[in-house]
Amino acid sequence: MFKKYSSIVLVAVALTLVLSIGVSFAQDSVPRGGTVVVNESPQGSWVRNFSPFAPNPLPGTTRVIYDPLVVYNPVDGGKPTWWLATGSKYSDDLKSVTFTLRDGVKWSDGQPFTADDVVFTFGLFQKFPALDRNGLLAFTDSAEKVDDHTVKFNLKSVYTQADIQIGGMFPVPQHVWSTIADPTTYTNDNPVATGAFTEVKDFSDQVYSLCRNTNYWQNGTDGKPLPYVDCLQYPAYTDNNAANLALINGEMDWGGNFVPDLDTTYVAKDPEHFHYYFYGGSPWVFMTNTTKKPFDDVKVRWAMDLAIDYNTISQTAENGYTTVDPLNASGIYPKWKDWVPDSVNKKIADMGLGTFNEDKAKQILDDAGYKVGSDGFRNMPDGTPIGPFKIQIVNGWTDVVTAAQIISQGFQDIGLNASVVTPDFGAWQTNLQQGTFDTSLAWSVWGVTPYDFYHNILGKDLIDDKGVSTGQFQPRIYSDDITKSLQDFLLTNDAAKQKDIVGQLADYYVTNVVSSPLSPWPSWYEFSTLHFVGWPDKNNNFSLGSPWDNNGTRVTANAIHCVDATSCGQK
Amino acid sequence: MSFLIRRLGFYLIAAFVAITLNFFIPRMMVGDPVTLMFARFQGRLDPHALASLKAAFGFVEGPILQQFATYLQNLAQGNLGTSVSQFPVSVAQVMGVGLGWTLRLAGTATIVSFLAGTLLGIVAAWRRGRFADNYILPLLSLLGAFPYFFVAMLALYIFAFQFGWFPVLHAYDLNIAEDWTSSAFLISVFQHSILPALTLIFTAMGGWMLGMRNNMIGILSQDFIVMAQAKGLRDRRVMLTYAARNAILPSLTGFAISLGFVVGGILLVEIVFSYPGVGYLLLSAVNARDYPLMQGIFLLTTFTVLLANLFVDLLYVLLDPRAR
Repeated sequence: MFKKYSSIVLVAVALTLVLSIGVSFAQDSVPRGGTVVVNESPQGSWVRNFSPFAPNPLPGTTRVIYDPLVVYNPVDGGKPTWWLATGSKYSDDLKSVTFTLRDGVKWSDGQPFTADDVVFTFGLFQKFPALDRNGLLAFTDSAEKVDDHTVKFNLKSVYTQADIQIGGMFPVPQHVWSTIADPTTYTNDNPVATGAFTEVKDFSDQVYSLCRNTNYWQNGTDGKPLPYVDCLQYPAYTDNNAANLALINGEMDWGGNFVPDLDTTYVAKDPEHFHYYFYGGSPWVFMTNTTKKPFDDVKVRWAMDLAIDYNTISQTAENGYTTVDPLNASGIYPKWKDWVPDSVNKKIADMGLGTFNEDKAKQILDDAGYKVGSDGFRNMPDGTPIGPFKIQIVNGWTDVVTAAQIISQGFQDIGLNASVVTPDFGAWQTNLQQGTFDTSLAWSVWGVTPYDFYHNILGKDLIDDKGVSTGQFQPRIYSDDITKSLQDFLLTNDAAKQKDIVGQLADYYVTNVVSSPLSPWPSWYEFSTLHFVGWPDKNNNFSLGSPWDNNGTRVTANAIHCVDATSCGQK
Repeated sequence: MSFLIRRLGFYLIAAFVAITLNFFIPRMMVGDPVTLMFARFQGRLDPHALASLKAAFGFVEGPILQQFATYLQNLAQGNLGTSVSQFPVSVAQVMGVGLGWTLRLAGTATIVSFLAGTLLGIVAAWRRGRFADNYILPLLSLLGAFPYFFVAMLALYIFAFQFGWFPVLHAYDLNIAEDWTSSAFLISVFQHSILPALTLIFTAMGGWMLGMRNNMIGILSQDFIVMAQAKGLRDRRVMLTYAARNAILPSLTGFAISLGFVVGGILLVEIVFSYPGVGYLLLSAVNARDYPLMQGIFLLTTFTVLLANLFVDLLYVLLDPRAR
């Protein structure tokens, strides 16, 4: 009798075992392996330099090799994705901020990552200011180790952007960098880091691969350490066309290329596998140089805003790529639209900002005294002609040049003698910084809160006494009230107060038509599902997708895996 | 001897002028490398990074004469400086990356096109009005008249993209490690170089052919050729050792200058075929206002051209007894 039952029991046990293994296998297994071919942007040949402090490190260095303390994923609207740090807290007087570091993180050579490394890195900045890529020295006095996993940063004065800026720093291992005599010239050929891909394989001037860090701290859904893929391979391309050729030929899995007419050029070649997804990126604006007449008159700026054909620009210049809502005329990004006060939205509607209305534009100019002269172009109220002015944009950026031409046409229609000029990047940028431009298309800063946009466009602290801006593009409109508001924002950690201040900034921006937001420019991102899946797309936008996105690239790289077990490792 | 000394003196002066212009001309361009580098990130770089970048690149700021003095000092020690756009890599290292490829591709293509073009030119002149003269010469001239990138892109599209006869991009297959002792690597390099080299050769050949042919025709009308033929020398001997040897002299000067420019890189080839080299390096250096790198490449180009000229001057003396 025992014999009869024992065989049944045996079968039952065996069946359970098989089923449970089968079930758990099906639930948690992710096909692992494979090499993903990536293009961040065409850069010619590679010169070996993996230092996170270099002004131009190789692609991947600050994206997948080194980790920041906190990741601010752009699609998360400023919410922090805790990375090497698991939390940060201001002291009650807001003069220091304490970061808690993650347990169990190791450097790629097996040594533990601790608060010592963070304190050491800040010490490097103090000794060599040239390394301070996040600008921490401006507001941080010192960094002290509280215990192995806690670091306290003491600030020079209250500065509530401190946690965001400190969060962006890349700690480097003390046991490696303390032996380097001059870190500013160290090319860090074999990086020791905490990222998912730290092993450099097969480096040549044409291609290199970044492969798996066997000591990586994050685990995948299958319980084993990430990443799922083995390596990221970066070929060098001299030109956008060459990169596009590789993309179309299916030789590239992950691209950040600008491709004209994507649907026919790229997707049509393999509609089943070739995809793209553009979450809106940097907001582009049209701005005038308000130190030049007639742009100092808000009525003129208002009329010009109404003469811009926003829809056509979006359709023609960017092929209607961006899938996010158009920019609010206050410049506040759609994901923060509840920061825009109702009063501001009403003002926008009353003024008609952000809409294309040539008749109203002409009306405004007529009423303000800018009458049309005998040559068909308008004159100043005193009769002198409004001289021909230029809209400048970078030579070769075809999508933006098209937008500029559409705008120029609109201005001509309302009687302003506008034309487009396309200097090279260096000259264009210098014109903007030195304030010698007439009008220009320019990108604006897209930060973690709306504060960054307004600070960069209205901040008087970003201009030196000779009128040269230290990197940002401004129409040169300032006011003492606004300067105070911008400073007040930095002194408070209270969300409600911050929203209030942003509301004031938005109101000023709209009332004075500081600049005209066009649309969020597409963040170029193409992906092929021929070999790898798990990509962010419009149904699952957990990350920006673009391989040049500072924050999200590491999130994307950790999520992708090969299509099935048989295709892994076979290319 | 005095001839040699005079020539050397001339070249030394030319070299010094080159070094000076090389330093000052790039700095006349609008824009400076630091703020340019910052702006390249299009708002993705923290605005506060600018101060740190300026600290890193102190060596491109400061009074210009002082910078010039430092530059001359470094040059005397053989130090070409540190690149700004590829900081902190030295200029010599950055240039070295592309130089090998440029020399191999452009050097080979220049030499082959010169030899092939010149030989065909000799044939065309000798057998005037026949096949080489009537068909090959106009065809090659036509090819050479098109802008180079047009021919290159067309060739790339038809032969590499559509027919798939040749690889589309790069100097070698990316999945083969760079190992000059491996035959697989060498074969891959050769395969990838065929299309760029052929487009270069066929567009340049026409010029050499035409030049040589015209030189030859001038020589062929001279008395000593008739004398040689009257003496009963074989046609081929007259064609080569009598006519061609004299006709080649003007072409040699052109050839020397071309060789000199080889180190300047073949920008269009590099762009179309995504081929590594010095040309694209120079373009990106100009765009980034990377003064040290620009200076390094310009210096190499001017010196090579000067050297090539000196070499040809000496060669001329050897080849043409009348010049001695």
